[in-house]
Amino acid sequence: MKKTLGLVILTAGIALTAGYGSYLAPAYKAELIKRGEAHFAGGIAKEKHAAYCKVRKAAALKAAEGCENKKGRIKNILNPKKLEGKPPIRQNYMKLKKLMASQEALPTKVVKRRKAWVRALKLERRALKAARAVGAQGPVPRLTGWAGLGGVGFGFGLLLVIVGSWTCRMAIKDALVSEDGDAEAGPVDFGVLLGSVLDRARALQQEMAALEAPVAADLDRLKDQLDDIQKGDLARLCESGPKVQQRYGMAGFAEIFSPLSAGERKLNRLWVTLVDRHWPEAMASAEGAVADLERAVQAVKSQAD
Amino acid sequence: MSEEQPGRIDLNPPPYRELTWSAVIFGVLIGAVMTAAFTYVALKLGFTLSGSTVAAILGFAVLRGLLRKGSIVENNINQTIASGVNNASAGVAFTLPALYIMGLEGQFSIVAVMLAAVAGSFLGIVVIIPLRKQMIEFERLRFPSGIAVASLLKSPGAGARQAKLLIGGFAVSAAVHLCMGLELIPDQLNFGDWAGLPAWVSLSVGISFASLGAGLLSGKGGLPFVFGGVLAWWLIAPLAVTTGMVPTPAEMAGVASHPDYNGWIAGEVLYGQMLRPLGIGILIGGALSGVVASFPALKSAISSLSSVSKGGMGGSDELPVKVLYGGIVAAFCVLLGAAILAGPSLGFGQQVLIALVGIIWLALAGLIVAQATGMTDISPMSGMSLIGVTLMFFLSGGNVIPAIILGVAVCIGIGQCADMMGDLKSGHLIGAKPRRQQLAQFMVCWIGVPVAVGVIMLLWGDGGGFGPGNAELSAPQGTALAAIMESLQAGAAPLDKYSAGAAIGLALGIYPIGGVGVLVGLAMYLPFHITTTYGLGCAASILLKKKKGDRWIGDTLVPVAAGFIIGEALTSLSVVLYQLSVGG
Repeated sequence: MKKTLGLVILTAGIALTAGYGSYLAPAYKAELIKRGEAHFAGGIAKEKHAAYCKVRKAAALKAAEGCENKKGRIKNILNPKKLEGKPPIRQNYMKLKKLMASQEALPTKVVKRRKAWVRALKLERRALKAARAVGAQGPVPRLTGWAGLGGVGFGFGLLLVIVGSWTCRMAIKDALVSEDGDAEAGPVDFGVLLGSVLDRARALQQEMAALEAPVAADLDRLKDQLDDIQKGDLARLCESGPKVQQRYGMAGFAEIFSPLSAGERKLNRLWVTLVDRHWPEAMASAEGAVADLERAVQAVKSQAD
Repeated sequence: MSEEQPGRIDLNPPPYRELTWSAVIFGVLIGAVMTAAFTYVALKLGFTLSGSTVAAILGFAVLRGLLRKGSIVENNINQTIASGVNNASAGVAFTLPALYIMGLEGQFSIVAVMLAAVAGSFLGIVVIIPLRKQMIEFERLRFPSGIAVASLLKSPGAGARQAKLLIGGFAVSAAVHLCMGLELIPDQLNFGDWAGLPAWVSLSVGISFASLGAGLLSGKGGLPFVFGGVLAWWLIAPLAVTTGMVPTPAEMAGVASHPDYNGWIAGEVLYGQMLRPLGIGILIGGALSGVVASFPALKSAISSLSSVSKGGMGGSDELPVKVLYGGIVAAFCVLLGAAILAGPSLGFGQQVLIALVGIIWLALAGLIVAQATGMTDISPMSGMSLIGVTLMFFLSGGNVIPAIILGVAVCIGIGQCADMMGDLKSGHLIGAKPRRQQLAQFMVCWIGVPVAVGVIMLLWGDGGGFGPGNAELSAPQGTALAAIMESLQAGAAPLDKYSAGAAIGLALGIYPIGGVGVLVGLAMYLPFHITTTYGLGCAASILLKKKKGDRWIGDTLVPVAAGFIIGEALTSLSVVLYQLSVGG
């Protein structure tokens, strides 16, 4: 119940903070409006150009002014290299200048479309100029503008995030205690499981040590036994990290999980060396794993004390 | 590997093969070839490919298949080396071309670029050393690609059933991705479009078996990521549009009926100006709070490295802490050298400051990228690099050249962090010694730098070899960075969104389960179709776990999901090579 309440508060808090955090500073929004107008004016110019090219093609005129010929090749108005790196407003100006200077004789229908395109380019130019006049809003004015508009709602949302997170934290702590019956039972469970993994790893190591002339079938059998440990109790043990963290704190958790993970890695190494049929390395890995797991058991004991 | 007669095991074989000359030489060769090829691919298409999976497959085929002498751990070392060398390709190809595109060729020192890139490569490994314990052993992050590579490396001993599942997953994923590469099927299913919803109500699912596989391997842990995506695209986006937070048609002269309005609002305004920068801020705040929350564990990890130093390196599986400190000092000196050469007009204090902040940002961004990759297999590298370049830009007083050159170091370094951590995860799962993996990567991480920088210089030629207007090599990332630098010069930077996001991320650090801030931020940073595919994987994994149990997940789902990831990675490479060969 407490956790659900915490999650609800947290969710509302994240939604509020993210929502208010997304607000655009008024002056920046005005800048975006102008940029948007320029963007759409450019789009309209492109549409008019496409319409112009269509009538040009229908009139069987040769490719020119950015229209493609029958083979699909585009004859650009300007050399793309000349346009490279130039701001859009400069590119627009260069295009218009070139179009105005053109002396090509065209049929009336095509002229009409061309005029519409030139008009659209002029509108685009005006929109680009307006966007440039608004200028770019600096980082600090954007921050203060946003804070003025959405700061209060954002602050309230942030408070909810903190309260919700804290409630969840407390709920998980409470759940750990009630789940285990009392504060002493939990570590015993973890310790029992860890002890069981250690016993099984030790048994495996002793079985290996007892083999005088191992054959491939022995290694496969040992690998299967190891598989059982790894995918059973050891996996459960490693999954229980958050609970151990809650119980012993971050430092205590690190003291336990450091040797436990080292032991886990050495058992993984034992598995691959058995597959690779390298007996000395497999023996060394088994010994190392047992030693690390023993250290983990000691760490649990000292934390419980 | 060492049987004297059928069934009998050799009790005195040669030492177990791990960090061998074969692994080093072959890894460097694969890595160098991948670096050259992937740098070209990045200039052409704007993205690179994961080196680890490709290297693991090649190493597996050559060392184990052809030479018949590689051990599983030796393959892991080979793959660690190859991907460590290749890491320079993305870092260099995403940043350095911007200097050429901005017409600054001849005004910057190529030695400075090399120094910065090498310093970044080393720093990426150095800062990740104490985090290995934290992320892999304590937080137990999934690193789905790391699991996939480990599954592949372990396949000789995993039994016929698991091998069949891995191959099955591979085949399905490869077939679907191939069809997508050949444009037979779309790259996403846009249900919103089909239902006639506006573009700002995102209802699309990406067709990516790698994302699905990553979700399957992440399970319940990936849910905050899905929550972040749903919050961003199903709540904030529609609310922002309907309440007039974004420019409305009425406010924009003459565009009320423009068919592109919804698309522009969704892509340029909602995603580009609101959600993405806010997501970057949450990522930063989330990572910072993670460092604070796990400080005791980090302290314990560093003190365990210190005890290695006191006891000497022999017998230990960790690199000693003196390597960490020495590496940071050495890399700082190299980076300072790069800053001096890159910005000779700057004062010495300013040069020291940008080198210092560069290292701090690299460490933090490396942590963020490694965490995000560990939890979801998705790397926010471009966003973190962008902030790095922005920081350098302001610290150098608006000087583009040192900003981008130091940005090269940051970009390579954070890539190195994520790559190293993924390889360390694979190593953990097959029992490799981290010290040997880290040493191997240390030895070779600089090699990719001259290769990648050389390819860029070679392709630029006498000028105009890549960039906007070049039909063959448009260098999309370099062009984007050049545009960003120009906007920074004009004074634009979304400080409001970064600050708000960072506050949210920091507050989420109080939540008892770590990494929530990073996951929520990452979901806002990414387009929604990636989140949905990943989320479907998480949901399927949770249901299957409930129905079939943990053991079934390990025995069946993991190899299938690994096959999905490997299948898509390899098919991506094949499709790119095919497209390049036919001039696509």
